[in-house]
Amino acid sequence: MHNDAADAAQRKGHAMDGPRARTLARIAATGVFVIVALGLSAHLRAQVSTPAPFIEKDQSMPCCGPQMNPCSGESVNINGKEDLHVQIRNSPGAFKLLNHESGTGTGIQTGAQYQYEDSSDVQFQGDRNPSYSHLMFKKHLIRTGTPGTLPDDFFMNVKFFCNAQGLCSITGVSTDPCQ
Amino acid sequence: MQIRPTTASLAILLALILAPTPAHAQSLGYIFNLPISKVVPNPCGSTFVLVNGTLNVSVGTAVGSDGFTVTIGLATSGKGQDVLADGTLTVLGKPDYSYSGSASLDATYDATPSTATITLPMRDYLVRPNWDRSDIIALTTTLQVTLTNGVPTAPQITALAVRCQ
Repeated sequence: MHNDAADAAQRKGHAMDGPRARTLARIAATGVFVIVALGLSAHLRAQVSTPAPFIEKDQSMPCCGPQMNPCSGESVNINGKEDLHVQIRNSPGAFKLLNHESGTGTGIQTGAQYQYEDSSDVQFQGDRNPSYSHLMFKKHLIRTGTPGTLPDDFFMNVKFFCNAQGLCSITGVSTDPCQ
Repeated sequence: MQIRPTTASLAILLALILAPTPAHAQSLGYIFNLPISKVVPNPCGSTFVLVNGTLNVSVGTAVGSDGFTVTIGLATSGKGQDVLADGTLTVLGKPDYSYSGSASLDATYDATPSTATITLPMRDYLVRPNWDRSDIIALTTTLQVTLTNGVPTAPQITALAVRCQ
């Protein structure tokens, strides 16, 4: 009798376990779904509204084409490159640009040879980063080989535009008056 | 189709509210003159050079439709004299170096930063007269400009570096 009652109770219990388990499973699944959905939503919102916490970007661009040598009056074809390394951190803001530039120049008429090689860096720090900036770097074009009668080294300025994502482009090239 | 006055008024009111506010530009300018006087090793020889000059720093700030813009203009001029390590003038038979130059930078923020520090280099070339190219010195003056709520404090020269060209 005792065994029969216990069996019956056990059977009854098992009979109750099915729907209860399914209900519990549904609640658990809904909970997991809600948690995942909330997490995904927060992640997507973060991606849309918050910039990446750290950006690192390398760029290389050719520079600078024909430029007038103010000391000789000759057009010099500049065949160089600008290598930029940008590091950006958000919250708090930090924007660092390292620039390495090198190249050669050839006088279009005389074939006079020039070369340059330099590096510089600019940094912005604060509670926020600039949304864009204009920067300028100066380089010294050194006459190589036989100097000739004129001392005709000259100086060239390259101007850059950089945006908040660290993408930079050359916006202008100019030469200083002959010194 | 006739628009009721109330609807039209509401549309105009909404347009006025939603329209971008006209740029209310507010510009300010600051000038700082920083003297430079320092003995540095001549990187092109075994002597020293006394660099005497001025770094003129102009800082402009403006609030416009793009946000807050800071513009920094640099102008340098000076000379370099051959000296001993203690600054005593020497006679090498070479004329003094001279230099002058200018550079600029600007940055625009979507809003006025409460603090912003800008570190930038000013590159000058010390050249002896008549383009004696045997010992041209590249002089890099590193400048730090700090702004608090859009107002600059006196810029600081944080480094003076030389290199033989």
